[in-house]
Amino acid sequence: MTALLEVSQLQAGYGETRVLFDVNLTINEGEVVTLMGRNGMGKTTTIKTVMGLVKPSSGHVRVEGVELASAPAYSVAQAGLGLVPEGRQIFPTLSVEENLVATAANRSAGAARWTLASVYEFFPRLRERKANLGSQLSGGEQQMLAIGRALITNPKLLILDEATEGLAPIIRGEIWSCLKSLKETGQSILIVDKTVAALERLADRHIILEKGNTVWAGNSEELIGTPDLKSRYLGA
Amino acid sequence: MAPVLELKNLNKAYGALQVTKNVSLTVVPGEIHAVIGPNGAGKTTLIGQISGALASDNGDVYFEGDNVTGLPVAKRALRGLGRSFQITSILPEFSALENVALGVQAKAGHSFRFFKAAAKEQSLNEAALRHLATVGLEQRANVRAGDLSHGEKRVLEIAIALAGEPKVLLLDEPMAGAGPEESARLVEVLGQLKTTIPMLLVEHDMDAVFQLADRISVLVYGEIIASGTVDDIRGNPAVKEAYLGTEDGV
Repeated sequence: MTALLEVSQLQAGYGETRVLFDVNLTINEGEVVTLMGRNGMGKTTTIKTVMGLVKPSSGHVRVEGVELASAPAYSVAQAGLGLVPEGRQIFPTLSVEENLVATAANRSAGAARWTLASVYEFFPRLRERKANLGSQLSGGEQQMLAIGRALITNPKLLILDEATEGLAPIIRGEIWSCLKSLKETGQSILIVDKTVAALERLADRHIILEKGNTVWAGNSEELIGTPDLKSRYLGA
Repeated sequence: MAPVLELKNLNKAYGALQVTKNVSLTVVPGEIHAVIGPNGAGKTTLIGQISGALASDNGDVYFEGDNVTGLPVAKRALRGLGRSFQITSILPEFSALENVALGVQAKAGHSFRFFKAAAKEQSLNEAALRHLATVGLEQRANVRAGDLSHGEKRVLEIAIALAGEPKVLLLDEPMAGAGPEESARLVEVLGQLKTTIPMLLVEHDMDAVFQLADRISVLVYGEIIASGTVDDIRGNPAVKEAYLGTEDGV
């Protein structure tokens, strides 16, 4: 079976500073996979490189078998990767509805799974706030908008970078609940987050990065059963 | 015990949106008073009102018994009202020592030495190193601030705030973006500091808040809906509904 996303021997950095040395990960259709590691280990750089926002110096990024390493970000998005970036980065001067319509796309032959109506159904609060500007939303609402904006591109793989960061506990609970619902619909997801306990419950597999290298990959049972891994690589 | 900081009926509106409503609270010596609440509840606005970055529509801020409501940010800071920011605010091209030395220089008022590198001044250096040691960062003094880990940057911000010799610290989400080890270190640093510098702490990391806070006030839609000890707040049904939830969405 061809993997939905296959990253192998990926190297990348900024200027002369190398951040990624040997990153390897595979995500199959319908899987929820996490990318874990301490701050500064290369998680966000991996995501940016996969998305075409950072140019790799070598290695492979294959989406459904098609090589996309060094491809521009729009090609990666067209291939079906949808990003919820760190810090949300919604369009602050556009309304909620404009934020969503601006990125809407249907990449399937049939009817799109995610439309304005279905995003509003999934996040009723966005419907209530549809005329408000992005800058007028609370942090939790902005995060919902960032996820809705990625979903409406009808991604084959949804990628979330620190989606629960800076949110109130009750809102974090809502975001986890929303991701669980998405998983139940068969949505493939790659998540970077610091809440290890929630990730262990939600995800099928985990990849751990240490100094730009993939140092461990396994399922939740293996991660939970090896406390040494968490203290050594995650500081948990 | 007389409060170091006292807020009396603070209000702030942006147009028709009332962001803080009649907020009154105190910070007494030796304590951490945490302010928690949902995103958009008005916590950062409140910090702005206390520090002087935002003018209040009405209400008063008392610092060491004096009404400082009409004072600008710089004068409040010089009197000892220090703050840290939600977003990391350091000078990344300068060393950790230079970042703190600039804070010491600003407090000392050596404006005529402005063109001399702050970290080359012996007295500034010594004070800056002392503040770095207080937060456990002295071994990293000569490292470029931009090369510090995220947690170290957050600790450096506290050292910079200490350079202003604050009598009270306003901390806006100091744990934001920190990993488990980094949060634990920040908790240790703040726990040690509170005996000498009382703090108003805005934070979403409830493990940290419950470890550090002596009192907690809960801000919802700009109003304090509950105030009390950690146990009072943990058990308050209204706080659970508005803020804490179960956080067990998975």
